[in-house]
Amino acid sequence: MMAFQPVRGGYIARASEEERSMFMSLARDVIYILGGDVHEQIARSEAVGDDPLAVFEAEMAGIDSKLQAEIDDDTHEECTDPLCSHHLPLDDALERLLPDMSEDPEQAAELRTLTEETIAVAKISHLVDFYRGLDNDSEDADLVELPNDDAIAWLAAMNDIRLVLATRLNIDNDDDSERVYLRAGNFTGYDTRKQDEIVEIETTEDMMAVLYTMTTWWQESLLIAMRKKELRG
Amino acid sequence: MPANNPHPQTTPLGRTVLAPTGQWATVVHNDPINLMSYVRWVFENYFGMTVAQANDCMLRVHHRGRARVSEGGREQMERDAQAMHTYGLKATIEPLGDAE
Repeated sequence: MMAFQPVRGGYIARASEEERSMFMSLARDVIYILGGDVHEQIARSEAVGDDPLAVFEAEMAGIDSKLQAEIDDDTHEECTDPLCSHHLPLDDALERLLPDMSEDPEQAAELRTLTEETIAVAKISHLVDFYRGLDNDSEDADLVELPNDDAIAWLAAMNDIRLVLATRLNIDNDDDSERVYLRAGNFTGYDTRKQDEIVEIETTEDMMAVLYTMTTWWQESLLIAMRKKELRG
Repeated sequence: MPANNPHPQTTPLGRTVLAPTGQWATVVHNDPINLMSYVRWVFENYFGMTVAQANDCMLRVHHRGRARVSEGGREQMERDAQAMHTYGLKATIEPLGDAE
């Protein structure tokens, strides 16, 4: 993978097909946690075109109908998929993506009713932009092209991916975070003292540690590239 | 502590100031996930803070566990907190009467 670099009109980076498909898969998962579906989103936005109000209304309608389907669906007790979020009474990742907006529980509930859907729709939109941006079939297969207008969406999308991975990795404080980065170093070879001892990734947790570290690094490189652009004026 | 915004009404991330006075504050809370560089970027681009203000504010969040990032009417604070959540920062709103 290559860090983001500013270019005329946007930014470029490099990521192999495998790396891009991992990020796309993560984006898809986070969209799902938020109550969306990436393919539905893409189909819908292609149907309504670029009118932002039409897109917004379509997204709200989509979430409404999904919620209604859940209310109507009384067969869900038979579902045996352990990853299905219906079985998680409190999905920590969803809670971190959409935390309370007040320390007063009543106020928090009121604010959640007012704002949750709008925030979820915005997050889904960023993640879809990120997903689509990575899904390229240009001749230069490793090239990642990010137009200026999409930079904020990608920054936010990578952040939400980080929030979910960190929650799954139980990162509760700075020490936990440091431990995860060090652990990831064992597999990626970024810890240069261990070049000869690169170990195979065997567990889901190790995989998540590596993905978290990669996303962090890539997000930070985009921030640096955006700063460089700002300074150039 | 208020983040004074002497700049134009709309910031790069779309913050418009609805009313200059009010009884509420938006608070950003520390978390072990968001990068300091990211938090600084959000403060600069949403609140229109200068590089120095954003850095000071981020460090206050980091060292004290929380910091007030804006003050104003309740509706404005709701918008600010909503924007913080959209960008992945943990934020709450609180009445100004409470001590910081």
